[in-house]
Amino acid sequence: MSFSFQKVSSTAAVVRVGKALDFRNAAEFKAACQDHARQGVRYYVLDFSGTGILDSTGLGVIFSLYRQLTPAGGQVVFASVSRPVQVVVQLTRTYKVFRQFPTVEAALEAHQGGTSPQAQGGSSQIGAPGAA
Amino acid sequence: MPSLHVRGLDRFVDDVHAQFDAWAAVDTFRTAIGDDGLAVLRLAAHEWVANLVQHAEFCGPAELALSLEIVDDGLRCQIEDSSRGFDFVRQLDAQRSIFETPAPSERGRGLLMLVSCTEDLAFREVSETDPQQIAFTVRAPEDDNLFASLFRPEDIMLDAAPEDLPLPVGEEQGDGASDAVAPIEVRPDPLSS
Repeated sequence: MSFSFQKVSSTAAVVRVGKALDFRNAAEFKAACQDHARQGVRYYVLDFSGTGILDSTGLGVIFSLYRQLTPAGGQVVFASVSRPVQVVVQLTRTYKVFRQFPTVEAALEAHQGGTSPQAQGGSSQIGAPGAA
Repeated sequence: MPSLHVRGLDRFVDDVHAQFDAWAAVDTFRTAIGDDGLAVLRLAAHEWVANLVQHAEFCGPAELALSLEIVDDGLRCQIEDSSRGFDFVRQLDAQRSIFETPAPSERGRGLLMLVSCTEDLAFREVSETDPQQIAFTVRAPEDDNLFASLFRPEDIMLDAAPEDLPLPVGEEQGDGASDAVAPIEVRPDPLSS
């Protein structure tokens, strides 16, 4: 496991992805995200500074999280995206899905600036995969 | 031809990435396809090795040989392993069928990624005399010329305009994306190198 969570408010968390998010730690990452979601977190800032590996499985669990959060008004955004991760984002065109910010602070400011998932009805519970 | 030999399944991924770290510092490689091209090549190699680690069966010591070669206007990566091999085309077809399931798993897209972001992919099945081998080339990426469609539109953009949606493999339209999915050459016989 190379990632760590920092809950910054009742509904927002910063996830420092660390060196790698791939098939080796994706399941653990997903479980940790879901634990936080059960605690009410709806806005996830994924901090990719220093991340050298994001593979198809890692990207898959991010999409899974996104699919589960969106019906509840949640968001997943990317911050401090490293070049290797940027290549994956470009390759898969996922820049069309996940908003990117230059820094974690900028991502949190955007969250506090009025597009909070809580303001959009964040009391909903996360549904099962595919339950949109 | 620079190469790496790894022994031990648990070391495959880390050792391959360590080797790519070293290759990323080599000017001739960086000049050949650029830093982004090297990142794509590393990703493709990672996906193959990840597939080996997760799905391959080894009857003896797990070994892997990785090599890199400058070709025309790109870099060609070759990976051999000591596994018992598997049906690459069947696995790839199975991954493509992920788009037909109601709620597809987030796993099982690695080969799609590999095929989408490389060119001149050649796969050699394991035989009594030769190990399983895969080889692929990455050329310097052009802007927006690479497209690995790994997710269904309805799974990723719940309220997006249709033009914003990545399309499933095989349904790319008119932006050069379809060029990124090259035919696979499967060779039952040893490759001539």
